[in-house]
Amino acid sequence: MRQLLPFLSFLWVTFLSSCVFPTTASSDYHEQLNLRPLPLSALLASFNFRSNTTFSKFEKGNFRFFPRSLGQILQHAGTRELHLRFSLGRWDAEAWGARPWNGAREGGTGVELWAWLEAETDEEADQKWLTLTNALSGLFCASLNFIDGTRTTRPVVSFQPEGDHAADTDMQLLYGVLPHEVVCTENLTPFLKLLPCKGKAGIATLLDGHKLFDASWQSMAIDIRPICPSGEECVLQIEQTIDMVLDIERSKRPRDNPIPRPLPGDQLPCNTSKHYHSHDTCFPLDHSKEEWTLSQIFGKPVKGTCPLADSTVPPVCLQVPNSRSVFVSKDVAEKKNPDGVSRCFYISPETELELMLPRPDDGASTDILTPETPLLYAERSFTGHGQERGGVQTILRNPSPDAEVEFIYMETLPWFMRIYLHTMEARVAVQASSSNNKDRNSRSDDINKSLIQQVYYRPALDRARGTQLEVRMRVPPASTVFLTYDFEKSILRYTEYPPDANRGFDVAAAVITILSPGEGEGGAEAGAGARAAAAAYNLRTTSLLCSLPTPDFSMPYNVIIFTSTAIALAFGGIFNILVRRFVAADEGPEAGLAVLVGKLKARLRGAAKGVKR
Amino acid sequence: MPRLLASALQLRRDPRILKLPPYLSLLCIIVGVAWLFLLPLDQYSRRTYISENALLPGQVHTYFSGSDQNVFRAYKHEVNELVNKSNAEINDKLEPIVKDIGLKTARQNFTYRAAGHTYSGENLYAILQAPRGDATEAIVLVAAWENVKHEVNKNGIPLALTLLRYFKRWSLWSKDIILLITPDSIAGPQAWVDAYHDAHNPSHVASLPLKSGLLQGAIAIDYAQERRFESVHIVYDGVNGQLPNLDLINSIVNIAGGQMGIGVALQEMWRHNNGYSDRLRTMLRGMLKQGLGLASGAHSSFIPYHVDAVTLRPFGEGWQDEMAMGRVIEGSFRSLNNLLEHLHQSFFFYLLMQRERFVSIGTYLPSAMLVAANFTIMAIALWVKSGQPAEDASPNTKSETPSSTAAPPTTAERDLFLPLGVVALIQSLSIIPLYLFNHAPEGFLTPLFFTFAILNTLLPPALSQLLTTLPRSPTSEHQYNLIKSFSLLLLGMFLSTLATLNFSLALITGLLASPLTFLQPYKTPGARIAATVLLKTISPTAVLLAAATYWGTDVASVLKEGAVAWHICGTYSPVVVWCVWWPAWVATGVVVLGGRGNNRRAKAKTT
Amino acid sequence: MSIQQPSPDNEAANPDENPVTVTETATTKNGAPTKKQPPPEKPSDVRRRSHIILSFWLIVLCLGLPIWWKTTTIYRADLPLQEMLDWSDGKACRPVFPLRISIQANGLQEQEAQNLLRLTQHALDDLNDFSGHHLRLGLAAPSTSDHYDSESVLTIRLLPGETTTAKFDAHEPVLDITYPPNSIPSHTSSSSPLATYVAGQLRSAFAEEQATISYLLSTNSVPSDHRPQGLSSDVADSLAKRTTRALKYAPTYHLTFSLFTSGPLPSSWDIDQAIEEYMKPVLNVLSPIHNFTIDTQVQLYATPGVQNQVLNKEDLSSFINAAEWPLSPSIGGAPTVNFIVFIGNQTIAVPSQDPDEGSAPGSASHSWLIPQWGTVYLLPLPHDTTHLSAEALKQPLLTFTSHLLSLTGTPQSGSLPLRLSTLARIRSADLLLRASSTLGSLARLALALPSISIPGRVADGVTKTIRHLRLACETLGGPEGLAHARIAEAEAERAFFEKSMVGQLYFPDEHKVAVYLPLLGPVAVPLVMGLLNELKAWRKRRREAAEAGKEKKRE
Repeated sequence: MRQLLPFLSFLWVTFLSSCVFPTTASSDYHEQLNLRPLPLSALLASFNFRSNTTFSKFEKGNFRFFPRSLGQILQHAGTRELHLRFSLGRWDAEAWGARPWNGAREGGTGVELWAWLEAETDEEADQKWLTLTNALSGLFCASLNFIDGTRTTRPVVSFQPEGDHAADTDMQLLYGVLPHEVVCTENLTPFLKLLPCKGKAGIATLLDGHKLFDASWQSMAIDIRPICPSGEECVLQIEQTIDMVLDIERSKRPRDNPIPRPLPGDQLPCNTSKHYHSHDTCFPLDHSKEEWTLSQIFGKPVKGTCPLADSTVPPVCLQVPNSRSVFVSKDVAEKKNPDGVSRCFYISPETELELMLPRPDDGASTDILTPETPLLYAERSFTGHGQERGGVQTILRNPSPDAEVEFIYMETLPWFMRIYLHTMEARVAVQASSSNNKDRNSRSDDINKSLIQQVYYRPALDRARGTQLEVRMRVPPASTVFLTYDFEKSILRYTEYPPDANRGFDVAAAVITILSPGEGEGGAEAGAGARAAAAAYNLRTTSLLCSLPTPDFSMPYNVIIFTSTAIALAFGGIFNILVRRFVAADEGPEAGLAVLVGKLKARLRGAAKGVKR
Repeated sequence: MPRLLASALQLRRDPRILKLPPYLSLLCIIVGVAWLFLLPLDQYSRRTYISENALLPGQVHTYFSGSDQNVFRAYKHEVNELVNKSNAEINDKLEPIVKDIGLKTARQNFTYRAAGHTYSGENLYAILQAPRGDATEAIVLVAAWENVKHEVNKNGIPLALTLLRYFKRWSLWSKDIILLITPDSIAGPQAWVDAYHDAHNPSHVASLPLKSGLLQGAIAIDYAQERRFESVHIVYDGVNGQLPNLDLINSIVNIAGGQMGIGVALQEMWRHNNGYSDRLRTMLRGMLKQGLGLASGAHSSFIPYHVDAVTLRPFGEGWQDEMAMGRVIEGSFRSLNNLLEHLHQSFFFYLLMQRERFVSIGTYLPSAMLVAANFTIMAIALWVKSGQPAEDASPNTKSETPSSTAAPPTTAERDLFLPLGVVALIQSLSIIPLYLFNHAPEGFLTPLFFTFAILNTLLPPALSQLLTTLPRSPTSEHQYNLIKSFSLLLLGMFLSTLATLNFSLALITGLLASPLTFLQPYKTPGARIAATVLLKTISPTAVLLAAATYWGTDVASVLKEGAVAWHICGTYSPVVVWCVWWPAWVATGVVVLGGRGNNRRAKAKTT
Repeated sequence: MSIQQPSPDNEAANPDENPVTVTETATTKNGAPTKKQPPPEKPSDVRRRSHIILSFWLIVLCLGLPIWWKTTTIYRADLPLQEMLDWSDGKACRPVFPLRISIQANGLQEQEAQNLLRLTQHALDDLNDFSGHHLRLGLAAPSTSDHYDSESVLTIRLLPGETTTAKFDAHEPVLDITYPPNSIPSHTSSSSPLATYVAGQLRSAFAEEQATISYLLSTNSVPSDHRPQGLSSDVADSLAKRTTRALKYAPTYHLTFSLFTSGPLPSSWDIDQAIEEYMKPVLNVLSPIHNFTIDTQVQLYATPGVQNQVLNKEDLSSFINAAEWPLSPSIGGAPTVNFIVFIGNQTIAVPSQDPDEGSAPGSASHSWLIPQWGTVYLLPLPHDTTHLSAEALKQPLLTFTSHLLSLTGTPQSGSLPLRLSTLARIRSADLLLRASSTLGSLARLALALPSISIPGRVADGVTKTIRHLRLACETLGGPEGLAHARIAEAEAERAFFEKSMVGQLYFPDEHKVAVYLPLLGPVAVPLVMGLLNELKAWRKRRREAAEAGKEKKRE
């Protein structure tokens, strides 16, 4: 947490201003853009829009900032809290460090949806879930309606409601994910339509499909949760977040000419120190230190602010050391924050905001913030090959030298991956630099035993529901843990194969919820079924592509014909044996060439006679 | 209808039928070979075509040129400084370069032991993570430090580096791109692919610290020649004669030939006038390569894991420069990047006879099957024959009296124990040469081989001697027939099965073993000696020696190649030679030599 | 191990139950010795063989074929096709609306009233030309109380006055008719001006309803025997126009009030209050037939689909910027009616003349009605208004109200309560006809595609529909009739749009036979051969038996 402070400070500011005076009209809606240069000439831009509506207005169906189209869906599907994610690409934790918002505002590749529905029975919950997914798929032009029973799970410990809910209402958490969904512009447009100012004013003007979906990593999130400040009326809060990591070099290319043609030889940044350096030989330098401006990156500057937005919240914030100089367009008020690593910019609704970050002089060592190391690195991949069975291996690395990490690892697997739970094991990678072998082994053994603490497992039913696996485990400090299990690939019916069966089947990302240290133990002591502690950090692995045995799709008829022929042959044999009479070879009728010839002759003779007559 | 069937079955006892099989199997062999020679004709071979529409080969503009050439030259300087350095040093030098391009790098150690040598080294590989992609699929670009001929890949490595740097600028990749730099062309890739699929032996090969998704294709650059080149040579043979999907080759031919105007050659046919003889030569070379089943390049070890791969090797004197080569690879990668599904549309079993002509399995399989069938036919004939009493009447009397069929069919007891035992014994013996030649260190191979050859010549007579002396009842003609029948039956079975896996190997073995069908105990000494000589000349050892001398190498190196391939790539050609062909040969030898002595004794008895 | 040589071809030896043929074949061979016969077969063997063959045939015929046929056939639930077609042709039910009209004449004494009633009834029957829609007068119990019996659609209050006047009560279905004292017909007179006057009043009151219903009947395929004769073309046109404009009937409508502005202002409005004041009354009146859910929204930076300042007729259709404006239909079953207040000073070039547009003359240049969708109201405002007060919304909401009525298909003329009761009847007739036509098309579909699968759910739906249709047909005109018609219509729709009826695995019969031929053919051949041989042998045995009998006789 400590190392995340600088980044969180702004969210903290906005959060205060949103939660402390939620009733004042000015703070019913506000928006903010956080820019943060990352190593390897990348730029993290995270947009955040948040608006509230009081319960009374919501119930009466008077929507002002809260989007009506979404509100109607919530009312109709009895949804108390909703979280929707559209994500693309992968977050490069080694280079970029910890995730924005502690990973709370991102999902696995594709579309992810989880919601708390108001329902007594499971059937009711499923019914509402169905309406919810269908309505959302219509609203967001995403095929969310494909989240059927096989893709829906009910996580036990991985997710906790973020909002304040009345204790008596019995809610059910349902979780669905579509790893194969390709997020694209048609999802962004409805997303923008939900904003009070659309894409027409404020920071939302920067959001443009071409830029967003050219990003190396991007995640759109919608969170709807009830918030009840003490002593005031409860408000329903919708928070829309877009995080994207842009490759500065790539996004500086003009829209009309996006092709990365090689630079002219003279513009190529070369390492002139090489002895062979000449006009036609050039050892390239990495151009990570580049200057950029908002309009270069996003194609246009910020066009004023949304007049509805809370004027006390700075629309744009930039996170670079205060030592760096930043140029802004005129009548833009810059305010450096006390933490010394960030500054914010205030503008009036009409003025444009243009911002330029010049190339740092090579002397300055800290031109950008050093990314914070995340609490955990996770990497998941398939093991084994062949069409019959395979394995999944997740490598979990805890970088911190002293603190151990406790987390919940959740897998939602499709039903055709039949997991062998008994093969699931976690082991610490033994470091070569260790004392004598024997005691190391013994130590590693009992460490391995203590790695997995709880397992929540809901086996799959063929064609009905997928496997749900939640493992509560801990990783000792400064060590790497391998979590592995095997599975069996089942053969689908031939109508169940998608049109691109030979591509393989996507397996959703694993969700890792790291528990904040204090409460973690509490949950563990409470034993099975304990409500886990609040998440300190979330991360998701990449999704996988599982290749199943695919038939040649002209097969079925061949099979039918082949089998029936075989059956017919067998039947013929048995029947003959049953009804034939067996006699000794010499008693049987005469046969062989001679007989055939004889018969033939007889025939001919008869024919000849016939002709004579 | 049943009556007809019955009469057809009755024909078995007709002596004329019994005379037929040898001619029949001879016919099979002749037809099989003739079939093979028909294939290059236009009527029998087909034009290649792209059946996976997603590939769209040659549909994209390629921009790899201009100042990238300056970069290439710089990288080439770097590489040239590394020649004759140790593997570790090379990787230490290359890794930072790759890192600067902005890739994630990792290394992998491996150690193989074969034929007394240790093949060890360190693979360096880097992953270019597709922007917007999520590690579900990947394409591999392999650049081995030295190719199969142990020439340093002086242009290939810089080209690969420059290409990766260029690819990094694009945002259109839907699959990760993996750059794999291996110290050699056989062991390194094999180790890496095994580890990637977790099929490796951890004691010899280290696991991969960094991974990506499913491998959808691989292209290896083998660009050792310094001067400008004329056209590209596509090497496509995999281990054990497995082949990449034809679509991959087609699209590269399409890109190189159609788009860049660069010629394409196959199977070292540097000049190819699309005529009969050249087609035939290409096909035969391809079959020979396939039959040997050795790894022919850095790509070979990918193919067993259903990853379609080829090696591109520029050759000839021309005006094409490295950039052109780079554009070919760029185009191919763009095509592979377009793939929505794993390559599955086109053929996996084919014989290429020109870059745009091929025959598919349905067309060529019959020839191998016919050759295999001749053994089976003979085996059945021998079985039937062994069921009848030894006829000592002279054949001409038989032929006059067709009514002999009316004579009550006489039968003879088949004594199966001895023949089965002998065949089993010979088969089990075949383990010995297999083990010896695969595990002996290289130094011993030559003496070992010759001692084995000598023993090999002595083995059949010795066995037949045993057979005549050992058992209480002298071994009868029937039993010899049965021995041969069983061994031929096995041979036919093995070969027809093998033909579906590795057509060429089956065909070659079948042809080499075909004389065994006709060798039988002869009574006249001349024929006997001729048979013995023929037998010796077609023995596996003799053939091996002849082949080695023909290709100007010594037997030891051939055997070593086999052993290395066996240990690293898992080539099973040695198994076929020693456990399929050799036993059949020994069994026939026993019959030929043994039958004679038995005959003499029979005569002695009758007089 | 050892194998006897003959054994292999023993199975193959041709089984011939009759040695005679064997001898024949043997003797045909010249000079060959006749070979020895197999021993005569035991009768038990013969019997066993025939039993085997018989049992095989039995199993195949009684078990195999039926099972095969059953498992590979397509399931078709049987539908009452004829009945469905009858419904669609209107044979099953002829929609009759008996309308009871009670006359309340407190001023007259019994017998006079009866007389008047008779005369009026006569006059009505003379006027009436449409049997489906029939007014029946009845005399209400003379009571001064204000409550009126429910089953009578209209109550006529005859009040003494100086001239004959007629006026509808605003809130009750009541027609007050005053009459001069002298106009009471004597019980002998065969006609009276008052009676004809009343009849004329009633007729004019119900003319529109009658026209609408007859129009509905004529549009649906109803046999012409009880179809109205005279429907003048222009009337038909206006009716067609109105019916197309009206929304499809639904028990609940969802009203969405949207405030669209092209800029950032105004961003708030007092819509709640405005609705309470100006719209609620009408909604309350409509409540017996429909109930309404309401929500409101404010949308800023909404650019209309048409930019130009003066909107002419074709612009109106494209004014709604469907791509950008979030007017997504509500997700419930209820259809959405959109009422849009657009802040802008555009003007409409052609103020719509015909009253059918339903827009109040004052606002003709401000609003227009989009059939089956809703209304747009252009509200010009000064630029700096941040808040929209209830008063400012008065005119728009009144327009919306009147448009709502025509969107729900309420008749134009008559007093509001009367219009509403009429609306109920029209609706039920409409639903009834629609449901039956759906049934008809389902039946035709089932007949047209013999190889389409019909799951059981469809059959259930059909039966349910028919049941409710009957009920609706009996209680036509009343509220429960409406309810039944509604259920019937919903069920019919569900049955017709059954998903599993459009199977993507189309597997016709000839296809099936072709696929299974490899099984059936080879199995059939030995069976048939065996049967034939057996029959041959059996006939021969009988012949021999007969000959043997003759021999005995001869001896």
